[in-house]
Amino acid sequence: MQISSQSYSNSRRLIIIGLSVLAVLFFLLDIMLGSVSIPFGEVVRIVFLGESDTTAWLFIIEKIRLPKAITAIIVGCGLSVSGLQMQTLFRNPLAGPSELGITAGAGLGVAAVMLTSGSTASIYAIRQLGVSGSWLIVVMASLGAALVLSMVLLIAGRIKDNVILLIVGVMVGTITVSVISIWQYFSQPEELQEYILWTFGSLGGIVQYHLYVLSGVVIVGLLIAFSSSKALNAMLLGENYARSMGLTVGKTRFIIMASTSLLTGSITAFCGPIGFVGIAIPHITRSLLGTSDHRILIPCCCLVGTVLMLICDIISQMPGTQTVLPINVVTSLLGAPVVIWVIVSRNNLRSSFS
Amino acid sequence: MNDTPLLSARNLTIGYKNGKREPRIVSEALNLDLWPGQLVCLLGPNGAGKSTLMRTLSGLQPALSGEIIIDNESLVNLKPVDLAQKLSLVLTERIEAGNLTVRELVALGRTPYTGWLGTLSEIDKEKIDWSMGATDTKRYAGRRMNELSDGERQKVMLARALAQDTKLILLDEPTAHLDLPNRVEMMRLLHNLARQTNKAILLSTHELDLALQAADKLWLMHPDGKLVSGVPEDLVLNGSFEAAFIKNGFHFDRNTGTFTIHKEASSTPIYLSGKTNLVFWTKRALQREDYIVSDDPVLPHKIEIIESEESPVWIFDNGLTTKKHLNISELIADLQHIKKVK
Repeated sequence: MQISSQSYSNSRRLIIIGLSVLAVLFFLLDIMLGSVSIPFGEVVRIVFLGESDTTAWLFIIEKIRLPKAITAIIVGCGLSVSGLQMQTLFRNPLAGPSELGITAGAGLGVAAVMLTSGSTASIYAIRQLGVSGSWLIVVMASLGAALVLSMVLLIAGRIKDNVILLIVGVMVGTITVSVISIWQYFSQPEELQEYILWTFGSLGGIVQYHLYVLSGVVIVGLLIAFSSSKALNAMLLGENYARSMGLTVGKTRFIIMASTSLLTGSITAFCGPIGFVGIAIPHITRSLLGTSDHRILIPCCCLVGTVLMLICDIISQMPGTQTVLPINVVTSLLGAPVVIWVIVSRNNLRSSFS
Repeated sequence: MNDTPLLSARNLTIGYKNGKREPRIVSEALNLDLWPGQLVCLLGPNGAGKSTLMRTLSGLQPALSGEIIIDNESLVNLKPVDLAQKLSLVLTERIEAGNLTVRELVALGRTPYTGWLGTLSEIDKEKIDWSMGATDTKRYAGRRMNELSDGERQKVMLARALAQDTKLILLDEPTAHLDLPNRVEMMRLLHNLARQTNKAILLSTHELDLALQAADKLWLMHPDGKLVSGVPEDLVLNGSFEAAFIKNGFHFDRNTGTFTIHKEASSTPIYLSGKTNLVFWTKRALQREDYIVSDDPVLPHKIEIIESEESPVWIFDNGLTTKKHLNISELIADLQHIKKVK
C-alpha cells in the first residue's frame, strides 16, 4: 500500500518532468518551424539571448513567432483549465467551454462590440483600437461568456440531470449562435468574411499590449482557478457533500464561473472559438496522472495544454510549405480522435464520473 | 457531558416553499432531541418525510418555522465552516468521483480544518488514519472508488464523515444499496461507534428489524407526518410501530418483530407439529401458499414432521390417507389437490 502510493507519486513526478521537457522542446520547435526555416541553434540564441546575425530572423521570431507561440501556451493553459473547472462544476464529462455554448457567448460579446462600434468594425479593426479596445473586447467577451454560463447554471440549478443540463447548454449555445447569425445576415460581405475568418481561430497577430492584456487576464483566471482547487476537490463529491464540508456553494460557484468566463472570454475574443481543447485536455490529463486532485490537475492541465497547443500550432503552420491551416480545424481534427481514444481505451470517463 | 442534547429541534415545521403559493408542510410541531452516545434510527414509510427531516436537520434545506439547536447554537446562526465542524453527513446519492483513491476521499473530510490549498497537517493525517481504522477501510486505502463494491464505498463514505471529526453524524439511508451482510455490518459499526466515541448518530433507514435491534431510540414517522419517538421495544409493545406502517395485506408480528405478507384467511387450516426450526420454515412455506397454520390437533388436515437420522420427513394426513414427503417442495405439490377439492 505504502509502496504503491510511493510508486504512484514517482511515476507522477516522471510524467510531470517529461511533460515539462516536451513543453520546452515543442516551444522551440514551434518557433523554429514555419514557412521560413531557421536553424535550431539560432532559435535558441534568439529566444534566450535576444541576438542574431540575421536581422530578418530576429524580426520574424520576435515579432511573429514568439508572440504566436506564447499565445499558443496561453490558449492551451486557459481553455483546458476552464474545461476542467466546468467538468467538475457540472459533474459532467461532456462539459467544456464550446460544448455548453460558453464560447458562443463570448462570440456574442465580441459581436456586440463590433455592432456598437459601427458597421465597418471587425475584430481586426478592433485590434487596432489599442489598449482600451482590447480591454473592451475582453470585458465584453467575458460578460458574454458569463451570461451564457449563468443561464446554463440557473437552469442547471433547478434540474439535477446531467443529460438535460447538456441539452440545455447546447440549446442556449444555439440561441446565442442564432443571434450572431442574425447579425451576420445583416452584415456586409467583407465583414462576414472577417467574421468567418475569426471563427476559424488564429493564434497569430496578437502582439505587444494585446498580448499583455491577454496573458494578464489569463494569469488572473488561472490563479483564481488554482486558489479554488480545494473547493473544486470538495465539489467532486457533489453539492450536498461540499456544503456539509463547510463550503459556501453559491460563492464557490460564482468564483469558478468568474474564472471560467475570464479564461474562455478573453481567449475567444482574441483567438476565435477554439474547439476541443477545453474538453479533451482535462480527460487526457486525468488519464495520464490517474488523479482527481485539482491541486495536481490544474498545473498539469496547463502543461498538457501547452504541449498539445504547440503541436497543433506546428501542424497548422504546415512546415516546409507556404500554407497555413486554421488552428480551429487542427484542434478539432486532433482533439476529437483523442477524446474517442480516451473514452474507448482507458475507460476514463466512466472512472472519473461514475 | 450528557446533560445537554447535541441536537434539538423545537416546534419545528418542515416542508417545501413553493414560490408564492402556500408552502407544502410535510410535518409540523416536531420536538426532537439527540443525545451524545446515542444511535437513533428514523423510520417511516416512503413519502412520510424522512429525507425532508434529514435535510432540514443538516441545514441543506431551510426549516419553515421553529428552531434547530446544534451544540447550543442555533442552526441559522452557524456559518457553513462552523457547522461543518459540528455535523457531518453520509448521503444516499452515489458519489461519482471514481478517480479518487479511498484515502484521498477520506482526506476530503478534513476540508473544514485545512488551509486555503487543503494541505494536510499531522493532526489531519492522524484523524484520517483513525477513521479508516475504525471503519476497517485501511485495507483498500490505495484503491480507487470505482473499484469498490457498494458496501465498501459506503464504509469509505462513513470514514470520510468520521474524519470530519464532528460530534454529530447524520446518515440518510446508508444501507440502501447494500446486501444483508453489509447492512448488518454497517449497523453494527454505527452502534459501536456511538458507544465508543460518544457521538450522536442519526440515520434514516428502511431496515425495520435491524433498526429494532441496533437503535437506542427510534423516531417513527407516520404517513400523516406525526413523529413518535421512544425506545424500540416500547414502540413495538404500545402499537406505534404497527400504526406507522399500517397497510392492507401487511401484518406486523409482535412475537417475532417482523412484518409478514399476510393474505386474507381464505384457505384450509392445517395442523402442524414437529421440531421448532422445521415447523418454523414449513409454516412460512404454507403461509405463502395461503394455508392457515393452526395448533388445533383435531383438524382433518395434519402435517407431522419427524426428524429421522439423515433428513426430516413430512407426513401429511388428510383424514383418510397419509403420505410421506422428503422435502417441502413435494409436500406443497401434494397439498395442491386439497386446494382444488375445496
